[in-house]
Amino acid sequence: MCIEGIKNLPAACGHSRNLVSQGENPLICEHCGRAIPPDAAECPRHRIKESPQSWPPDLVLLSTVPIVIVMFVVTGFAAKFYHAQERALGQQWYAQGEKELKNNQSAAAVESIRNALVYSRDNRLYRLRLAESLMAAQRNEEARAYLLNLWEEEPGNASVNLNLAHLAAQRGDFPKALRYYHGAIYGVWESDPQSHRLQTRLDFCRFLLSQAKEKEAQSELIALAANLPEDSPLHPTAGHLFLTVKDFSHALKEFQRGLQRNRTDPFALRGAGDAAFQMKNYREAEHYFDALLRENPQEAEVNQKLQISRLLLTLDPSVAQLSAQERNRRIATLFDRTLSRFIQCAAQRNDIPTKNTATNNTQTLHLTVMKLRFKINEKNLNRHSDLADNTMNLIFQMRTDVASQCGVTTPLDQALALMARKNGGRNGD
Amino acid sequence: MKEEHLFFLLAVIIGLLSGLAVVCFRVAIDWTHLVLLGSRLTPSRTRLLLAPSLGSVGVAFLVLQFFKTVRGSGVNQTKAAVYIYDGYIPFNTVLGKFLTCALAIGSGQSLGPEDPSLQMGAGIASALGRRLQLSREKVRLIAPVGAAAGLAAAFNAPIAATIFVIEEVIGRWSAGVLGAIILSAVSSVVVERLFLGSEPLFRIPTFRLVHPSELAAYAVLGVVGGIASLLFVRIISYLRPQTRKLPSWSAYGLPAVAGLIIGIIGFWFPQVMGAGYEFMDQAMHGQFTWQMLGLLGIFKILATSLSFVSGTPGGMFAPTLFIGAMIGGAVGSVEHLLLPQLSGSAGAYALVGMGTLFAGFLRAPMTSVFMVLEVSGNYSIIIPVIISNTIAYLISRRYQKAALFDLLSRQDGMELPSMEAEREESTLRVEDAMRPMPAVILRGEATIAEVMESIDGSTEAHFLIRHETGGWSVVSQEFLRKYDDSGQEDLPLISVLPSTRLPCLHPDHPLDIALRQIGDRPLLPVVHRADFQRLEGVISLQDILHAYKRSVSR
Repeated sequence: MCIEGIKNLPAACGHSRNLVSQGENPLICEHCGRAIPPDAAECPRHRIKESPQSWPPDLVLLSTVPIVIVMFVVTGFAAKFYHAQERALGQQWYAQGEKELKNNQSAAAVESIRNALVYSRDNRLYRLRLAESLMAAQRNEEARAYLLNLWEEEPGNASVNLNLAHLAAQRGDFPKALRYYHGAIYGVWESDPQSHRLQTRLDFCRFLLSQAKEKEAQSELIALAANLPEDSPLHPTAGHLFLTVKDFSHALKEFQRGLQRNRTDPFALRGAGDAAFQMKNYREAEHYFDALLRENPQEAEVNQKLQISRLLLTLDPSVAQLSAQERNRRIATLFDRTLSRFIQCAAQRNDIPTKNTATNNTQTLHLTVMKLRFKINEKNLNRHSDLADNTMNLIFQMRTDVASQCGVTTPLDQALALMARKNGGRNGD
Repeated sequence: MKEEHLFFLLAVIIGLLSGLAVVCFRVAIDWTHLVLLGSRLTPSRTRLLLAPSLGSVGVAFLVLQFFKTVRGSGVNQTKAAVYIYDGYIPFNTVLGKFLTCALAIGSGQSLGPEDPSLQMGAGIASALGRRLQLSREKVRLIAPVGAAAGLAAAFNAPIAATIFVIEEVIGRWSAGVLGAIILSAVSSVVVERLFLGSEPLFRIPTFRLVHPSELAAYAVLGVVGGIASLLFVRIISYLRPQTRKLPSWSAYGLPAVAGLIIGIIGFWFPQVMGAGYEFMDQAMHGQFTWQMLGLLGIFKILATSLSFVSGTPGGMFAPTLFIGAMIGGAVGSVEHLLLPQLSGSAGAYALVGMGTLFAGFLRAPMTSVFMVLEVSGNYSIIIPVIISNTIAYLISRRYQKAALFDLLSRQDGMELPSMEAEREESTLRVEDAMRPMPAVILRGEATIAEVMESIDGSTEAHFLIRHETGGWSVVSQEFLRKYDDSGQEDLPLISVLPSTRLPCLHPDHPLDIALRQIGDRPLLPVVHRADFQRLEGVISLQDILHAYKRSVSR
């Protein structure tokens, strides 16, 4: 075989010389003609063959047993020391990373937790925290890579699923987000599983609402509410979400449960009032709004709703189980107040007819109402049963006119609008 | 105890000892790194400047004063021990390799621990084999057994280690050696996992090939990996002889300069220092941009070349994997930018890239496939790995005739057998040498008269005889004439022949077997494997020698 670049090679094939590796001249054994290894004093083949072996092979083999045992012990100590040092370094860097994460130093936290992982490569907690640090540092794709690894090892890990759900939600991947949220809700939490599960479900509901999936959100909310302990601080939050999906009865229940825990919780009082109001349960709404205003008198919106509720409670003639007398009283009072409002609105616009001449519908209505105003009273209403309907018609006409000319601004306007809606949209908005 | 049994028992003991040695080696490297470079992934600039350069001076001192044989990666040195020194590796080499490589790699030199582990395992095996007074052949074979054990423990990959030793060190798959190698590799891995855990080196998300057309993306990686391999080999093969021409006093200065340059590179790219496994893991998790990945690949080539040619002992496996991971990640990231619909993650490309460089640079294609599977524990990646590795290997083979290890051994003045060349050498078979069936085949049950009649006019000197009871014999024409002339023509032919039958050959037998079987016989029958009575041809010693001559002259 031709060998390029090698000089002074013996002619016979099969023998080689180590020419260059240590810059020394190669040594060839006189007996067998083979190269002697560089740091051997003599040819090892002849050393093996010629020098008598003091120990028989079986004894040599047996002697390796204690050597192996000693090596195991030494290695065991070395490995133990090594692992202890690794653990300590890992914990040190991890603690630093946690501290940096708490101080919102996410970039530094990433580096610290990475350092921790060098010394505890298989530590799932560290890997999870690294992923969370990367998410905090807005390095979502990198975080996702770590989380996917973790997910493959533990598909039931709820924390991992939750983080993946957040990433999927940010990417707009609804099916994946759905899958991971379910994984988080039904997965395994290391500590306080009930609380985590509830928070996750809440998070999921918010996500569904953000995707305009109200029906799905409602189902999840019902499941959430069923699992909330009585003393949970999350009842008002659940109630608020129920309001968002327009499930007022559940919302009211949740707010009431919240109020059992804290009777003066303004958020729960307002929510309960709103829910009751939407359910047309004005008595209850009045109760909650009143309680809220006692604590927070500055709440203008609540005050308005309270007045509306009171107006509806005291003036709505269509409430069930009213006596005829009470009904007529209400109609009469309602007529008077609506008329005042009507006149006030017309006066604001200088739209009051002069000399019994009407130039528009409002003035025509004005003249009609003024003609009838003295006839519409409680006594006449009791005497003439058909007068009530005519009076209500007039009331709603005035209401419609005021709404179109002056807007629905006062509590009376709003109460009348609600009454109109209740009465089948008769001249209602 | 029989030597064969002793050999297997020894393989287990070697595996245990090699595993223990590798565990201690890993601990030593990490501890040295901790002391010299600290516990941060990105050490301070002072440490970056001082540790590699001063560490290199320390290594050079140890090598030049005490451990002259520890230079190089360890693979060629083990092969030299097997083929030149009958498996002799002094135990001093084991100690020297342990100390110098732990210091070199721990101080930040861009080298790996696997090749030194291979040589340490071989050294332990050699020492034990000599102590037990094994035969020369067994001492020669025991070194690769230890080599497999050392490499298996270093990689935590027994299959890849076994295949590498067979592919690159021994070059053959004989059952006896294979059994011992597997035993030792498994033993060492068991020990290593006992102390260092059994988790795979890297983790990537499960890879799922959505469409076969995505394999083209991995083919592109194979091309890029092949080119990178060529670049890496060319740099080393050019620089190494240049550094050897330097005067002897540079033996201390050169490693220090190399260490200083690597330290300076480390200011911006600390990832290129040491083996770099933690950064490979980061590459697989998409932590770097494609630009950073590309730069890391390039600077790692530079750093490793500097470390290696400066004479610092240490391995090439880990740097090869690192370069492959970075280049793979870079190619994958760029492909994702151009074709976002590709389903493979950057991690998948990084993992495939590791195998690609392994196949292209070290020219161990089978090892590269199994190594990727074992270090990742991820079987889903196998098809892209095979495609990419094959392309890189073919490109490297096409433009770089000699593999790296062969080049290095020639630079050292040694001609070690090239396993690659041997793999690709065509094997001569009996069918390449045999002649067609002869015109006359005699029956053993015929009489001599009948036989003489059938051979009348034939110029053949020898004739094959088929026996009805099975088997073949040969007879010369001269022998038959002697019996015919003596008036014994009525005797059955079988009665005058010796009872032993000829050994039979088959057309697919290696010609070497024919050479061993022919002996002094004039002819041997070449028969069908399913029917020994069916003659395919005949072969003689001249036919065999002619076939060998023809193969040499081609």
